[in-house]
Amino acid sequence: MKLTSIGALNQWRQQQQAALAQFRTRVQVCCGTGCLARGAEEVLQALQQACVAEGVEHSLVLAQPCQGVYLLPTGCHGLCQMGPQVRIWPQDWVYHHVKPADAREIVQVSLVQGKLVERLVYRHFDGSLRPTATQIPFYQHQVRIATQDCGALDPQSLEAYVAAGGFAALAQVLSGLPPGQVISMIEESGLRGRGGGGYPTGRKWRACAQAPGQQRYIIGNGDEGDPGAFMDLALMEGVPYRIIEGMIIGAYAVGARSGYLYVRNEYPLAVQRLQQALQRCYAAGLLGPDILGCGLDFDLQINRGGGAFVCGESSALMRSLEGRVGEPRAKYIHSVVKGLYDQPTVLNNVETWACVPAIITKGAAWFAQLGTADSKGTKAFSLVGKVVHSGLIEVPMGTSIQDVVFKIGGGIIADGTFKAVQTGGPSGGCIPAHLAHLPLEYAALNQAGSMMGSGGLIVMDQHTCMVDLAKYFIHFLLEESCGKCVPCREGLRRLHLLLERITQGEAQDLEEIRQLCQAIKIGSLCGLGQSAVNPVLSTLRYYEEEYRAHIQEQKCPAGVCRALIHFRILENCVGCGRCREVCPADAIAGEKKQPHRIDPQRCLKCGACVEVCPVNAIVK
Amino acid sequence: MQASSDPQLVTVTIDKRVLQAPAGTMILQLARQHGIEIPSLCDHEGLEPQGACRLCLVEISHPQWPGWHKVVTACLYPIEDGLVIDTQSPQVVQARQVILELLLSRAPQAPVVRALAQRYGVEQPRYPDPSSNCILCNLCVRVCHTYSTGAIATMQRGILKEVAPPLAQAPVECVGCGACATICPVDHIPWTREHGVVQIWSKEFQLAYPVIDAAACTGCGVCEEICPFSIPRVVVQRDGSMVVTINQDYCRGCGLCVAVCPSGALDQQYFSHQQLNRGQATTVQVMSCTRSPWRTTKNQILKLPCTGRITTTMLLDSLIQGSQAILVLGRSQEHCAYHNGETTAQQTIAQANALAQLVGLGTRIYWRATQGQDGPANALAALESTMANLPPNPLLATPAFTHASGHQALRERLAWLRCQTSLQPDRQTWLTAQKLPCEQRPVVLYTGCVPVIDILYGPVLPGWEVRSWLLQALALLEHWGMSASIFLSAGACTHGGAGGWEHDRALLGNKTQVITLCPDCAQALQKHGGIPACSLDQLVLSKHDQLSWRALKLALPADHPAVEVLASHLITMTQARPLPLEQAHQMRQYLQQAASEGATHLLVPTPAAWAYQQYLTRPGSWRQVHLEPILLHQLVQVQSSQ
Amino acid sequence: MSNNLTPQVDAIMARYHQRRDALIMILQDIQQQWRYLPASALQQVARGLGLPLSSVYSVATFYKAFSLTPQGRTVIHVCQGTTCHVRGAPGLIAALQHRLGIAPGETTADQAFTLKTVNCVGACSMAPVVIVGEQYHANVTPAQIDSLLEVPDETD
Repeated sequence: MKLTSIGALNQWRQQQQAALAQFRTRVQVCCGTGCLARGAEEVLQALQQACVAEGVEHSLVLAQPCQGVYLLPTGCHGLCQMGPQVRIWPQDWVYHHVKPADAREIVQVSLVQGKLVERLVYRHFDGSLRPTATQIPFYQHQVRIATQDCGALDPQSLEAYVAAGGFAALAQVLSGLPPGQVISMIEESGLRGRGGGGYPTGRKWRACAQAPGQQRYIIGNGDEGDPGAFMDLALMEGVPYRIIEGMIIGAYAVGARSGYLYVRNEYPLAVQRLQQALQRCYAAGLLGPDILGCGLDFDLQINRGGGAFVCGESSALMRSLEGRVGEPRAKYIHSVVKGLYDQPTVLNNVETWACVPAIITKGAAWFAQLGTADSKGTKAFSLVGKVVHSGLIEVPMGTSIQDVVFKIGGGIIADGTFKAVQTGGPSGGCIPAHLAHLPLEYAALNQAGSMMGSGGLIVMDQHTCMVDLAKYFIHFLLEESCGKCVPCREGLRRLHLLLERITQGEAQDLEEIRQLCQAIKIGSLCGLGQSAVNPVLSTLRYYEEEYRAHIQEQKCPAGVCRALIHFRILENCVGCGRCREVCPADAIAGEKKQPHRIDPQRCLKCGACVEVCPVNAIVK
Repeated sequence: MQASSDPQLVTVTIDKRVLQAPAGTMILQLARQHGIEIPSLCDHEGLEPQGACRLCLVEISHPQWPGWHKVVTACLYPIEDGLVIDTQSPQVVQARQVILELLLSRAPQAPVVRALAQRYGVEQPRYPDPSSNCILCNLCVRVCHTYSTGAIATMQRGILKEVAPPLAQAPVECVGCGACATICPVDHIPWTREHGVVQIWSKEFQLAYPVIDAAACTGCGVCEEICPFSIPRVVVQRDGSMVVTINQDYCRGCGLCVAVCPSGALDQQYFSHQQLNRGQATTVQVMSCTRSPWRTTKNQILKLPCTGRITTTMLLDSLIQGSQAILVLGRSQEHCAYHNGETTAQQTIAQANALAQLVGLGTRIYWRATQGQDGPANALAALESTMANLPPNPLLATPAFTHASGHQALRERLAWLRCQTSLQPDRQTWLTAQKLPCEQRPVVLYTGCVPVIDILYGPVLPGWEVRSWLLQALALLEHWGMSASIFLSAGACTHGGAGGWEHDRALLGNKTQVITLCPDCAQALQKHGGIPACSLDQLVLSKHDQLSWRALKLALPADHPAVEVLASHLITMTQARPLPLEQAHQMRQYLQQAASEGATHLLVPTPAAWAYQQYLTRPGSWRQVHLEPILLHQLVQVQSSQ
Repeated sequence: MSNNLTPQVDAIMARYHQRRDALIMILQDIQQQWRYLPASALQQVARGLGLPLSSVYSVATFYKAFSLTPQGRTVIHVCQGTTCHVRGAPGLIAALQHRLGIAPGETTADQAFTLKTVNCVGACSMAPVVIVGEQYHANVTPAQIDSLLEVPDETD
């Protein structure tokens, strides 16, 4: 099937919509990486078997519609914490923590009888049952643009994407919107880069379109390297076609004929889904020569990253695409002018690309009215850490941190105390609880010493040591530094050494750390080094007393730094021996029914014993 | 801000000094040009800047954008109009101090780091960790990948990063050029050259020494002239003969002397003439310097220590054996490991091309200076499109030649080529190419063997140029009322080899008067061809009392003492062999006397004598005397030392 | 295995038309097939793509996806993402290290296991995450380590 004109696309869309309308019921099983890790695939299989067993007419693909059940895998729903999730339409019931064993009951009760399986339904803390997504607070405060349909569509099905209005934006652009006007729309929408820098997307496109060059390239950056961030993962796995559509529109706007999707190697499923989506698009005439018969030629290919965080940096990413070592270049000449193969290049994050189709179809004004003056539209975040409901969210820019943590995230786990939130990954900083009223927007976060980054929100409670966290990020960056320039390579090693000493209770001069940070910040070649010190500077700014506790009292207030904590068993030990069994280091000894002891020499401080102790007799 | 007068120039201020430079000049470059010091450890003028050491940080601002200032690396930041640059702002100095302290911790022994650190008041590393003295400036890797074979690279990343060959084993691709060791600012790459063996990266390279055939050496000293390191020395033996000696402790084995030796007295270990002349019929014969990275099996490649080792004979042999074209890959002059190897190669190629053109083979030899790992492949690709327009080489032969090098070898090749009926020599075109008149006139100036020798000598001995020679000869004949055209032969005399003169005779037909450049040619034409011929030498000698005209032509005043000298003294040196010592001494005395008499020009009769004269007066011997040739009879310009 | 290495590496390079910018992908395919990058394969790639061997090694050692030494039959990845870190990954690594007797990046003497750390696999809601082979394990505790290591050992 090749779509040779816009008319053909529209006609095909109607066919798919008609096919979708035939189904009486839709059962969506979330198959994002999170839910898959918890057995979503087995749940899907079990549901299918249950349908067969119960004689329920069903189909797994839109291309073979039937009157019965459309049973489909989808991208990430968002509330990964409670996966695997199964969503049932038209009722919009959401079932959580579904196991293969629940499949028979779901089919019998919900699909055959049309009733709710109450035990799988979200129970609010006030005790009420919240069967539909709109009733669940996690979803209530979100606005989804980039992640729209992420949990609703079969990510592998071009039919489903088109039925849901996919490629309408492309058709609109190709049927008479000149490239300059497309760029103007993006400019007016106020869309800024979602990958971290926040550079205005429209301005970037225009600069590229105007730069002289024989070839132009566009790149989708899916090398999501920030630990604790998985928005791009969810998008690439969940709505691959939207990213592709955004990129085709971008190629049309700037005049590029080839593009690359640079996907992180640690995301095998995303690679697989994008690869499949590309093949379908080529087959359908949505990629390749003469797209939709409109004379637009565009080739798009996937490059898997090699596992280097620094390749999230644009110039390093381009070197990597060229098959070389991912060392950044100084960017006094912007990559929009001299990028990939020294040609004008637009590099945008996949989330940015995913925002493009909606801006085209719904208009720049619609997008611009969301968010704040500084930051328009919405932003996807991965809300993780010590928060009750962790997962993928998308909220209008300007939503306060507090609202995200408490309204969407449902507060801190185990009734802990909200201490801080880390935004922007290793390049960002910590925002302490007393600044939780700050809106999530570029300027406000920068002012607070952090940054928007790609969208990781890591919530921390009183059990998180800020020195340890800073050391963690520095260690991370130390391993990920390309090693090209001195301040980053040698400076981070020094910084790590100093932090390591602090976490071991050895005295250090905080002023020396600040000076070193300053040199690294102004002296480093690329963004990785320049922003590497943010976690240290921001924790020093807000939690200096915690640093001082380590230095002056040899204490880790959060009980994390292993050199400063000791596990011991209290008197109330019942001698059950469970701790002795699980201890990987054989550091626990004791007679049955007698209080046990921990040999501090052998103890790894891994915490296995604490977990299994039935009477909470083991303390730090 | 004032608009600069020159549109291409922009005005910037560095440390309160207002400077002008073309837009796009890097700040560091500009500062260096004006003696403004900005520290840097990873910058080198021959290499792309990379901004690794971060010591060249400077703070920039612009009067048009108040409040805007930024710290940038001077090596990578191109200047723009109005830019104000502060190389010593407190922020910059503090950052440099921290960076130097970090570098000092890594390389506490490196003098260059210590000196810089000291200048910035950093005395001691705070946390010394001298696991490696290498400061990872990456100069070695860049020089290896830009100008050599790319044998080393950085391995790992971050703090584990190190410069190493693959697998930390002796790198296969290393050619032992030593560029990495030479460029290293902290002397971290061990490298030795002792007893003819270069050791680097756990590899050993035998230097290819020249082999001297003392019996064949004429002591002409061309090897002395060409050697980039002045290693060969011509010494006078007890019997007064001269012979070259080459000190192997210093020789680097480039083979330049071997290539230029006119008497064939030098050969080279591992790269003997016999081996190198034995080419094979191939579409494109590629010859390259060892440092050219060549990674395709598509074409045969001949790797030489230096492209200066290539001889005209080698090139002609390759064409004789059927090569369609020859591509010589080298470095640009300033990046040549042997300083003038590349110029020598280019001159050799120019000679060979001129000869090939003369015999009707056209231009088939190309020289390309390449950079980077893809340079050779790109050069070959570019050549392939040029080659599409080349007519096929009609030759495909492996004749047995007696001589392998020197002038004799070349004459042999030329004689052979002249007899090839498959070739259509186009002498008129050649003359036109040399910008010489080619119309037919009653008198014939028979070039004989001279152009060959000339071409051969031209590059080696500056000023030895066929064109001015021939033009002056024509002017001289014209003066004596003989309107002559140039008859370009490859020589009838013994210098030009055995064959050819019969051929010339046929072409000359019954021309009334034939004037030859070389006396031997005149004899040969008379003896073998029965053609009455007279050499220009004889002609000039018979009319030497009229030579004051020459002096006038040279714009000397009529009463200039030189005129007298010109008229009264002629030095006759017809041998190509060197003069015995006493004769040389006598000549020196003569020249000195002439100079003291105020002579500026002397008449010297034959080219061979002139060449010899050139040897006598080469730099290092009679420096004050400089010669300028006019045809067979040259005016020896004596520059008095006053 | 090593006997048919040459034609297979050639086939991998042919898949990318011997394009140099595909170097990383070619190495990834080789890594996937042999679980590491054999030295002979790297030499072949350098020759095939017309690159200096040093450049190939430079790339092979720069990116974390590649290994120059043979990997164990089962590779254990412990996620070291921020969430996993704050939720106890360091304890898991310490325990695994002790249990297997190897440090991260190393392989057990019997070639059964390779222990590796990975900077976030994007399953932060399940932190801490351990991936054994291709199987993701959510909310892992040090106490579960022994059961994680009970994988069928596919020794030929």
